[in-house]
Amino acid sequence: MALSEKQLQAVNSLDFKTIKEDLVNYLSGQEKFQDYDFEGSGMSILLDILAYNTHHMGFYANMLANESFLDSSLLRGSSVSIAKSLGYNPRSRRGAEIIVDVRLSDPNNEISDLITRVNSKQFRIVGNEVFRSSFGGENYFFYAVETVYFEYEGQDGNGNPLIYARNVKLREGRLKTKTFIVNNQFGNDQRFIIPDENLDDRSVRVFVRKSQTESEGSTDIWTRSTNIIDNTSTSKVFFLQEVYDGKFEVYFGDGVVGQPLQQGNVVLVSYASCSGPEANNIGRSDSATNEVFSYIPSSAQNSDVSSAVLYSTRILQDDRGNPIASYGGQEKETQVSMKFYAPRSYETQDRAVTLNDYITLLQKNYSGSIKSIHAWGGEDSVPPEYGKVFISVRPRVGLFLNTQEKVLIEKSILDEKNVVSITPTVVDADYLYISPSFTLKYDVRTGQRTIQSLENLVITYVKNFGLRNLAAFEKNFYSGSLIRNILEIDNNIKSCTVDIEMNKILYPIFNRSYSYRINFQNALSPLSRTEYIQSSIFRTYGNSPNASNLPAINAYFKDNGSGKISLYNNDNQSLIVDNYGSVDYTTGLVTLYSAEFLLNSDLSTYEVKIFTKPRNEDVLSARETILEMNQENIQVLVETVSTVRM
Amino acid sequence: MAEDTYRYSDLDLDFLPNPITRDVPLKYDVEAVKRSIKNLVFTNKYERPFKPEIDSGINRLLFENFNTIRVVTIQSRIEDVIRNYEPRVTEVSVKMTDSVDRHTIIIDIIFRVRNIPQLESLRIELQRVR
Repeated sequence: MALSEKQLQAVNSLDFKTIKEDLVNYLSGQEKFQDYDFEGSGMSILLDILAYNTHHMGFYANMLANESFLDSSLLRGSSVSIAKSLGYNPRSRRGAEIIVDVRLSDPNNEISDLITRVNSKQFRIVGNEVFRSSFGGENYFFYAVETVYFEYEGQDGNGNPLIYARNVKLREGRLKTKTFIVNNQFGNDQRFIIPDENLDDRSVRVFVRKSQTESEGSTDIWTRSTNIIDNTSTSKVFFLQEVYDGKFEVYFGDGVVGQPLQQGNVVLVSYASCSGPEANNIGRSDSATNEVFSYIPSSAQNSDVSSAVLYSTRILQDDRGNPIASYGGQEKETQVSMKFYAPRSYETQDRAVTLNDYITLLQKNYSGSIKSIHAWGGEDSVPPEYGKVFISVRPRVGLFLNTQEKVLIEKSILDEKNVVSITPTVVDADYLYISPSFTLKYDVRTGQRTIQSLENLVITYVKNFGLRNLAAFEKNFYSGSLIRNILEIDNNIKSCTVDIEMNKILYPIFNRSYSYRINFQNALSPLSRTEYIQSSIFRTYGNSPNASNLPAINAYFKDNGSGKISLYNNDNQSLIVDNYGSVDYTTGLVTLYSAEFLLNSDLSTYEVKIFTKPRNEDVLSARETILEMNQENIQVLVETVSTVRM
Repeated sequence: MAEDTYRYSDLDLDFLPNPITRDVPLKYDVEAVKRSIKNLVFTNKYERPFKPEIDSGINRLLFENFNTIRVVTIQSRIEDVIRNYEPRVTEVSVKMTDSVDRHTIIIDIIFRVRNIPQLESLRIELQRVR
């Protein structure tokens, strides 16, 4: 006979209270124990313990199930482990990179013992070359990614020899080592865990010495393997993976795939512990008189070396002569990111075939620096360029990727993974700025706002609208949507009309005659009675481009309403060049045939703006174009309505 | 069945087996209520899972300076916890007697079990153990 006439409820909750209520309800069906629902009774205490235990086990089972799936896992270790089964190794922290030219002299022979002559012209410095820079009150250390070869350059002012290395790639991080002694005496379960969560996985180098007393193998670098193809039983390879607590583990082959370790081997792991994105943008202020990097020879990495050793460390400059600051430093991949990318990486099989593959691969490898990304096939370009895939990236900082970053994307990330006959090409994002002018009718009989406050409110709203709805690839500007939202700001705004201007910024190559194409990608309408486009004022030669003996003047160009662009003198409005370029009003393509822009300190900017109007009130973006609300040029005119007009 | 004649029946948490039947004994009626009151008096805050408010406070208050105010506080806390969590009793009154020389406090709880006419009393002696 059952203890109780009632039955226990099916499990409908893991909540303590519900579980206890179920038990109490069950016991109410019997008469042997009557005191189950008095808090002080022994039965109640036992029921509390039973319900608590049930609740605890239910919660535990729930957590256990959650941690078994990528979607629901909360612990980083669980997500990493599940991602691993999809063949996805989450990205480690990444140190920022920078390219410098290094010139050294050593009058006091402080580093002479470190310099090795490679041949009659080349020198090599033994050890890990380390450079130091201060940024934001912190010291950051950079190491040379590859062996640096110096060339003899000449003599400094004091007659001491100078050696010189160009384009030395430095990466941020403190170099550290960890040594393990292989001990398989009690089974094959020894683990080589590097106790540093800030490790940069690109920096890991492994050496395996035969034993503590024998140096054999101490100079052989074992290479990192990311797959089992090409590995034989004698391949000196190691594998690297993230394990629990965000730490990393080095592990080795089993004698079939990769060479195994032997009892007594000494494993030396050297790696860099980096600062991630904190070390980005170092070097912007670098100049000949204020160099931001200093060199520390490996013999003196923990102390200052005489400044006499260093002659100069200059950062690589871009086309305009500005130093290219450090870039590419990233935090380690977040759990949210690996939950998103692990299944997609499995889909792409680590290959770039479809357009989404390109985007996924770049977001995975370069996500810390990407604000928006878009890819399209060359057949969709204007004009078509077959055999290419174009990728355009808007970086998180600034508007354009620098040359080094583009090369990194094209060569390091995509080249090894895309289809052989396709060339990945990174192009700059193309920004099209929208300057709207709103006219509002505001009913002052019922409205409480002042004109000024309403203007400010609408301007702030439009700015935020631009940040939320534009500023990325494939985002179009629909004025109807914006107007509808403005009308909802205040019921007393009775009407809202908008007039839209748009402009592009041309960054010219100075002092050189060049043909430019500026594509608005939207049909154009006239700015005034005749012209559709007009430029800002810039500096150029007076009469004919290339005639360098002619005086430089301030000029601008505009069209004649029939597709022809002419150059005018800004001082007396006289025509300088009649057939300066052309404009297609349907496609929005502006072509300058042979324009030469001059760099002049009188003009405050190094850019030329080209203004026009779209034919429709909506502005569309395509390919590399990003629409931006011109934050400085949003105009609002409020007209008051106070009488009812019939 | 014999236990059908009892109004209240509860497990004895001492779990001392009956020497003859080896069965775990039960507490009935007034004895069950007394055992319940005793359990409540000895319960401290956060001791019961998800019911932190069940608390006579006696454990904590014994470590305070022992004076008249403390005696009144202990009495009222015990009365409160019984009134709040033991609906089977009425007319609760608590009397405390201190025996400083013996390091002992004697708590006498006088109460009436509902539907039983006579008054019942429960004596709890708290002694210093070391």
